[in-house]
This record gives sequence, C-alpha cells and structure tokens, in this order.
Amino acid sequence: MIGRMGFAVLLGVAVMVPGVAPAAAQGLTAAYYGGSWGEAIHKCIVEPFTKQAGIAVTPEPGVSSVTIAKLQQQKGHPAIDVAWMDGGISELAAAEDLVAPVDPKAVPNVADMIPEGVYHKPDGSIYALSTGFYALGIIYNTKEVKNPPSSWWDLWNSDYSGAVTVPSPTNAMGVPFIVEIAKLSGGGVDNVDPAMKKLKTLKVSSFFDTSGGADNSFQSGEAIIGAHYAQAGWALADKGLPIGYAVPKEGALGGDIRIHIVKGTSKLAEAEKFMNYAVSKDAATCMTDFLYVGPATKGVAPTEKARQRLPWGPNGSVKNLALSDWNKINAARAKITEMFNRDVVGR
Amino acid sequence: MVALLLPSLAFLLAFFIAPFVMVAFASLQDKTGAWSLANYARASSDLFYWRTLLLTFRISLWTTLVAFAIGYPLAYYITLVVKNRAIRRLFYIIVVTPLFTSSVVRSFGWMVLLGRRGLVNDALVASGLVDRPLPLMFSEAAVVIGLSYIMTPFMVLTVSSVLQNIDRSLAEAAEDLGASRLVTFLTVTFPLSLPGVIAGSLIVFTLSVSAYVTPSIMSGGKQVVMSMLIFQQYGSVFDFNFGATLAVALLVTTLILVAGYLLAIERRPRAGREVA
Repeated sequence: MIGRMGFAVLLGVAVMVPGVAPAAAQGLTAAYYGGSWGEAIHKCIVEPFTKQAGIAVTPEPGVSSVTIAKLQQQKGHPAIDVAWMDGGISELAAAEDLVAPVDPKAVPNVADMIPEGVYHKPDGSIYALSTGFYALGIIYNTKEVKNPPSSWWDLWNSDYSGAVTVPSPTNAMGVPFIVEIAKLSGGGVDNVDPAMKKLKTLKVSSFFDTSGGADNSFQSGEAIIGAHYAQAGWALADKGLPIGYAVPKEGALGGDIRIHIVKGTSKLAEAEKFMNYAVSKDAATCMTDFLYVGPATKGVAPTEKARQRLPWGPNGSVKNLALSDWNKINAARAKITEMFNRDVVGR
Repeated sequence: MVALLLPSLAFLLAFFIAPFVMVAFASLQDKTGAWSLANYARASSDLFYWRTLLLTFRISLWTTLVAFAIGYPLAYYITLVVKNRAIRRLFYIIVVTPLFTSSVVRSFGWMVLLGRRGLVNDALVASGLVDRPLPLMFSEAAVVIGLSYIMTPFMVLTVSSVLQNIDRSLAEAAEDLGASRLVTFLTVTFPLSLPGVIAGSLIVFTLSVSAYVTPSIMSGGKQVVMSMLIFQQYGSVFDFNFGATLAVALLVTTLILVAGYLLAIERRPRAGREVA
C-alpha cells in the first residue's frame, strides 16, 4: 500500500514540475563536470572570471558523453556556450562540427600553451584547448605491495592474483589501456588480439566502469594494485589510506580535459574571454594545485606538494605521458569493446 | 470512465510510448539513417548476445526466487502474526527504508559485508569454517544478493496488501473443520495470496531485468548483463542504433516471458480466481 501511495505521489510531482527552460539570461552557460573536477573548475576558473569580467557563468553539469549528446540535440541553436569534454569525446565533437574554431587573436593566451594542449582540425583551425592532463598509472596498496611497481606487467605478478583492478571499456581510459597493452605485446590499435590474450590471463578482482568503483575497491582492500587515475590515488592517500602512485616505465597513459566554444553561440565574444581566462597561467596554476593535473599552460609553478604529485611525476613533462591517438581509438572503439566483452569477460 | 483514463493515457504516451517509438525507429536504422534490419541481424546471429540475455534472465529469476523466499514469510508475519498496529506500521517502515537510499550507496555497502576483509569473511575465517577469505564480491551470486536486497520490499508490499484483505473467517472455518495450521496455510491462505505473489514476482523480475547500477557494481565487470551492454553502446561506443536494438530486444523478450508466465497461470485451474 505504501508503495502504491508513494508511486502516486511521485507521479503527481513528475507531472506538476514544469520543464526547466534553458538559461536565457545574460551571461554564459558552461557545461562542465560534477564532483572534484567540477569543484576545481568552479573555484579556479568560473569564480575568478566572473569577479574579473563581470560576466555570470551558469553551470550545466554533466559528464562528457552527456554533454556531447546535449550539443548534438541543440545543434544550430545551442543553449550551452562553452563546454568541457574529455579527450576522445572532444574529437567526436569536432568531427560532428559541434564546436567553433578558436581564433588565437581573440584568445591570446593560446600563445603561452604547450603544443600538446592545443588541438587542431585537419584544416589547421583550433577546436579545443587543454585545461589539464590527468594520468592512468599504477595505484597500489603500500602495505600489501612490498616492492613499488615499475611496469604495467607488474599487474600480472602472481602475488597480486585476484586483487587487481583495471578499467573496463566503458571507462574513458579503458580502451586506451587495452590498446597500450596491445602495443606493448606486439600489436596496436588495429590489432588488439595480443592484448586480449594477455588480459585473459590477468587475475582481476574487478574491471571498473567508474573511477569511484575503483576507489571503493582500494578502500575496502578488494584490490591492492591496479591501473587507476593518479588524481584518485592521491585523494585516497590524503584520506590516510596506504595508497601509492607509480608511473610505469612504459609511460602513464595520459588524457586531458578540454574547453570548447560551442558552434553557433550567440555570445561568442564572452565565450572567447572565458576560454582565454580558462587557459591563463593563474587558472592553470590553481587547477594544478587543486587537482594535481598537469598544466597545459607554460610557466606554471605549482606548490611542492602538487609538483610531487604531477601525473608525469615530479620531474617529468607531458612527453612522459603516453597520449592516445583518439581518432584511431574512436574508430576502433566498438570493435575493441565487443572483443573485450566476448573474449575477456565471457571467458 | 474514459475521461478518468485520459491523464494516465497521456502520461503513458508522453513518457513511455513516444520515447519507445523513437528508440524502436532508431533500432531499425543504420548509422547513416537508412532503414535496415542489419542491427537485428547482428544481435540475433551472435551467440554472445543470446548468452548475455540468458544470464540476465537467470540472475532475474534467482532474484525473484530469493525475494519470494524472504519476502513471503516476512509479509505473512507482518500481516497475520503481528497483532499490534503500531508494531505493524514500524515493520512496514523498516521494510521500505532501503528504498530511500540510492542503489549506488546500497551496492557499495555490500562491499563492507562481502569484501575480502568484510564482516562475512572475517566471521568465516575467525570461526575456522574457511582457511582463506572467499571471493564473495564481484560474481553472479553477488549480483543476485545485491538485487534481492533491493527487490524484497516490492515482494513484501504486494504480498502483504493481498494477505491483509483475505477474509480471516475462511482460515478459521478450515481450522474449525479440523485442518492443521499447515494444511490451512497450504490449502486456504497461500492459494488466496497467489495474486500478490504473481504481481510481486512480475515487479521483481522486470525491475531486475532492467537494473543497471547494482549489476554493474556487484559484478565488478566480470559478468555483463544486457543493461550494461546497452549502456556501453549509448554511453561509450556511441552507437545509438545498436544500443536501441539491444534495448528493444530485451523489452520484447521480457514481454514474451511475462506473457508466457501469465498464460501458464491462467491455464491452471483455481489459482487466484477466488479473489479476483
């Protein structure tokens, strides 16, 4: 009875709540993430920008795959002016002509960025700017794992049998991880068979879909070693857990969060100003100190704590990250996902 | 009468029929938007998808059985044994409380219990029943445990709503005529409560078939059910057409199973007729 009444109440509420109209006020609408990434963007970019330029910014929260779906639906009449999307999705958005070219004259801070953080279309125009690199490296329990790991192959060590976690293809870095294992075993993005063979022999505790799932595995001791995000590892360590991060000698897998101007925005000048601030040295320094992401803007001097925790290690640079060729990965994604489901999960 | 139906019809049309028709259309198109049956050919010719469908139904069936085994006695106890109304209300509140927590939190909670160093394993190892912790988490059984926990309240609520409407004088008459309490239960109370069991098992089964969060967390990615494949197609591969095909296939096969179940019950004499 209670169930039925509850349902009736729910129905009533669902019918009565009117559709929320897209923000039409002055100011910008920016799509970005929730959680700690969204917090960092809000604190390091949105708040100081609004204070400085006097332009209000309304957040439109969502993960990259949801943001791109919104942009697809709003094509031609976007309600979103500026959008953050991860590497991988960013390429899809550019290919579908959802994002506007960036004019370096209107966004002068582009000149102070590292070349790896500026993304060009085949015609030479810029479609995205990086606001920070993250890395998938080896996260391990420092109490259970005596010798700090140094290579991806340490995950196959029989001491950790059944207590390993790696991303599933549903996770943003899942397919890049499979491709990396393929490359290291004589294959590549077009030939991932060797990776499937290797992964079949990996005695995992779980394949994680979400970063939070992996966090829980490490927290509960279900996993003691795995391929996981550096930033998430540091967050666990800050909670007092015995968690360490190691950059594998083959290179940690790099990804980044990128800012885009939505094609057809009616507030192009404001969006350009916002983007210029997002890649400024102040914003990049704050993002690095707050999230330990690797800055894509030159001349960032992070705090010593943040420097120790950079995704490429304290003394490295973006060159130490294995960056993915997302166009190739996107083209092979469906096939690799299916092979993984069939050969590795369904074994 | 028709006017009374209109709001619910409009609601169904707007929030179920219209989106479903869009999904069905998408499933019949290829990536260029041309009409094609290729997605269905791909799904039906591949044993992998059939195996996934089978696993989904097997997990849902086990969940239904567990929810029944736990939920029915609970419903019986609450409605027919507990006499105090206040205590009965308290029981109802306890039963529905889990529904107020997000399934993400509930699923992660199981890790505390079932993990390698969880309470269950600690107790087993400490008592000497096992030498080393059992891999309880991240398995098919873990998915069934997680789903059963979430689904049992639905079974309890539907069964108890039927149980409390059964005329108690029927059971009293059976006992007056010399039937033992067990015989009375098996020949009078249980048959009369079947409509609740049928409704409850349908709700539990269909909700389990479509569950995503719990299987995704509790399986640790080592078992893939249909909802996870559909999510993969929509959320990471971006093949909305094939994702739609899998969604339609899951809905249609579930409907066929449910129809078959109801038909089998209709055919049986007695079952549930008295109350209807």
